[in-house]
Amino acid sequence: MKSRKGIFSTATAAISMLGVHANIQMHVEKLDNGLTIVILPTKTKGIMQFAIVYLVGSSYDDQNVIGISHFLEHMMFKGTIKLSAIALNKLLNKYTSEVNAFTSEDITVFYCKINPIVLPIILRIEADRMQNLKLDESEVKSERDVVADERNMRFDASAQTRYIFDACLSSLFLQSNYRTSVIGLPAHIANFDRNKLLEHYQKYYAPDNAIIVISGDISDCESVVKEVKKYFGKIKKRCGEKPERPVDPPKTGIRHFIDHTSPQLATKQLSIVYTFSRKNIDTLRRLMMAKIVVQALCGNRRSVLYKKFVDGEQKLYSIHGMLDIKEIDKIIFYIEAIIHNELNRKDVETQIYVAVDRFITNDFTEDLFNKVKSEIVRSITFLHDNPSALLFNAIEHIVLGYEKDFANIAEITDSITYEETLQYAKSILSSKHRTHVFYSHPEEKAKQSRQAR
Amino acid sequence: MIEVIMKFIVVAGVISAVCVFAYFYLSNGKSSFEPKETELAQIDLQVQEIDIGVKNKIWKVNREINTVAFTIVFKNEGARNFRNTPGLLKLIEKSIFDGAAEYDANKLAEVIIDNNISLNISFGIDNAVVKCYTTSDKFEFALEIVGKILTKAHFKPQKIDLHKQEIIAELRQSKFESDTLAAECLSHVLYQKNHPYYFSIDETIKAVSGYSRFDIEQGYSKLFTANNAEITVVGNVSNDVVKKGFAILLQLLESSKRNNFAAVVQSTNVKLTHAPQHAYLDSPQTTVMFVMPAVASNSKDYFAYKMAELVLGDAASTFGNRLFGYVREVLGLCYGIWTQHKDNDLLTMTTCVARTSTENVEKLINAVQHTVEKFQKNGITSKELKEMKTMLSSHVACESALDTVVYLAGLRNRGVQAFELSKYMDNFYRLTVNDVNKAAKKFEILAIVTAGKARNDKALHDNVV
Repeated sequence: MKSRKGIFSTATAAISMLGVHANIQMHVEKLDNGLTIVILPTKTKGIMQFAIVYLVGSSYDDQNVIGISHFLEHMMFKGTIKLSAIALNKLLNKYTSEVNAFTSEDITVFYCKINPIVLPIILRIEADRMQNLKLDESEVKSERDVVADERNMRFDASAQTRYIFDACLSSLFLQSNYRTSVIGLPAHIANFDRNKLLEHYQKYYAPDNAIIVISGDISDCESVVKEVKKYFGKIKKRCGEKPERPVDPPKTGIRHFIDHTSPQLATKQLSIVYTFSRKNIDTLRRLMMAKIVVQALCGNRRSVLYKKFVDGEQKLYSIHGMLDIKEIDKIIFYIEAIIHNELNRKDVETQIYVAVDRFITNDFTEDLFNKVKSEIVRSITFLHDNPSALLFNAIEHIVLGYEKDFANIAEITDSITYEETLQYAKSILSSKHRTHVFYSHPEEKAKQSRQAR
Repeated sequence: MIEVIMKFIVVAGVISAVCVFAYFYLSNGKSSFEPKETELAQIDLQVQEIDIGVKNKIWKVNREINTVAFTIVFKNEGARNFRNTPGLLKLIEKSIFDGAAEYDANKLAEVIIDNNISLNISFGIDNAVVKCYTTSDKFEFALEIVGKILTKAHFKPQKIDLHKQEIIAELRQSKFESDTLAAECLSHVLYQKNHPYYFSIDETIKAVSGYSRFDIEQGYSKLFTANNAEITVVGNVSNDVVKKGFAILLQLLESSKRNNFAAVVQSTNVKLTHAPQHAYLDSPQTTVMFVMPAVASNSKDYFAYKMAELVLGDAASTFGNRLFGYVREVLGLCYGIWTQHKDNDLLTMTTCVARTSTENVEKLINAVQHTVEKFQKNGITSKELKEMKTMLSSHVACESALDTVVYLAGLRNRGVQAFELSKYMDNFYRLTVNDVNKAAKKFEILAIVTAGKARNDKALHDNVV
């Protein structure tokens, strides 16, 4: 089968101002059946990182079986018509390191680290799994218990996440499946059955809904593409159009406050949440601007909020920021802090708001911007030393739609100006985007917290 | 003639059908391409040794990419030598970056970040470890910063209180985590209160709240001794630069007054000092921890033992080991179950940990006991041994400079010499089924501790000393 070269891109620009050669080599091809192949050669010898990404996650799950994408991920290790579960697992055990998989709201990824010589085995396994999954009834039953146990372990066992995680998600999203955790709720897990799994599998586990990403010791990209085509080229496309996922209407002027107490909580954890439209990060350039802003505000010990509240006034034990970017719907920016036990949450929260406002009017200086930008550009160097980090970074950017620009990420970031970033910061950190506050704390402070609200 | 030809065609067809059937049946989907072990052989890391006049030579591996990682393992400078001051090292760990030499806390953070230096200083149970990862052009500067932090940390009084409260808050929170409670229970089963490895969350909380800056400085003055240092460097930096940089650093350490903690003699006998315990926690999940005797990594029997452990339940062989295959895959009793060989200076043992729901604790314990007993009695098969050998050949341990340096530092900690490295894996490939089955006899569950709602009613009392 012929392949059409989709996008071929190799970045060759050196970042001269830093004296660091930070280009990423990337080779992309798309087969006739829709399968995309992304190859990222590095200089690390004898190591290859492999991943197959299915563009399906919990946001595509049907309402009464949310978590089915995640459950299907588990079932992918239970054998095919050609390869029993034992034989499959033995092969994976024999020939791979760090073999695993994960499901998010938008994607499911199966990955492993290998010696390049075993790539044909992995391709054969994955091509088989894409077409011939067995879904044995008894395995479905026993794995349902394992998934229920996993949910217990990840959310319900710890007081820090029990109930609060689900409550926070359902307040952040109204209509979409993003409002439920990827693993699903206990009632969903109980509903998983073979028929639903098969339907989900047949729809989404198809070459036109998949990307193969390979990084590491690759001297000849074309021969790797040829190898992939050998195993996947003949698989017919079958995903076709995917259902449209509902997106929440813009929420303006509504603030949510969730207060969570438990006798099993010993620290005061505050999350201040900004939500804004996905359109605010619609290019790689804007993504990197957002990262610069978050890093400068609360990314590390050099950041404005850390210096003020942890080092300076000692009101917080720690503070950091996290950008959660879904494929669709909204962007969520969390500022997470652990408050000194003696302090009042409301007071600290107000002071953080004041500090954020001051950041965009005063404290986000050009000097700080340049330092943070330089830090981020230099950190790209480390991707060349680490095929796994490079691969997962690439996956993140490709899934968000920045495939064309990823190879030039260092150059793009370096070209960002202070003025445009400052304007950007003012727009995303505006108080109108401050939509949620989540507060978890020891039980004895509950009354005080409610009064302070 | 036609009849003969027809018969021939029929017979040939039947034979072909049988062959095809036999291929699929016997191969059970076996890949038509499975490389030989020699083709999978790990890349020779080519470690060079650099002598800089202290007890331990520097190990160095060159790489093409412009990054460099190094570890300095200060042997014997771990928590066990601070048993009388529990939690002090944690406090030092948090406070040590609050300024050093001419840099205050903010400036120190700035220079580290601006130079893309990733620096971590941590204290394990036996050793202190400094781990650094940066770009090649910043190697010398990183060493300079490390030297200042290890010898001239400020320990600002106003920050110390905050760190103390933070540690206490973390410890209090850990009392609601079943894994931490189970580990504490295990410590109380294995060790008397005055043992260097004994730990108690409550005792540590009480101790930490009383520490002063003087205590921190006293503890700090005993750490980071030049002659305790085991240095490993991986990256794109010349031997001369490495030698010069570390010579300066070690001279700085020598000139500070430090104590030299003594090495200790390891025990391989796991003895129970108290009956197996249960810690109650209102949680839908219970952590179950099993402990078994083990073999020291510097023993000649280590390789056979480690191979046996891989077959039984080590995380490195997740998809191919017995415990995962039976307890999780067949019975569905837990999300994960792994054994871990803990080769500490004072004691070597193997633990097995799993978390399960309250109602499944008894079943899980039975399943693990059954698997271990069967393993002990029957050992492994030649097929299992072959598969594990292939797995070891395939395993890619060293990806980045940082992975490589951590891997090498771990081998050094086990007493492996540089000249042994290129043949190190041969010690596994040479093993026979008999070797491994002899080692498998050692696997015997000596104690079980639980933390969660479900109580372990199958406590084993026979081995209490």
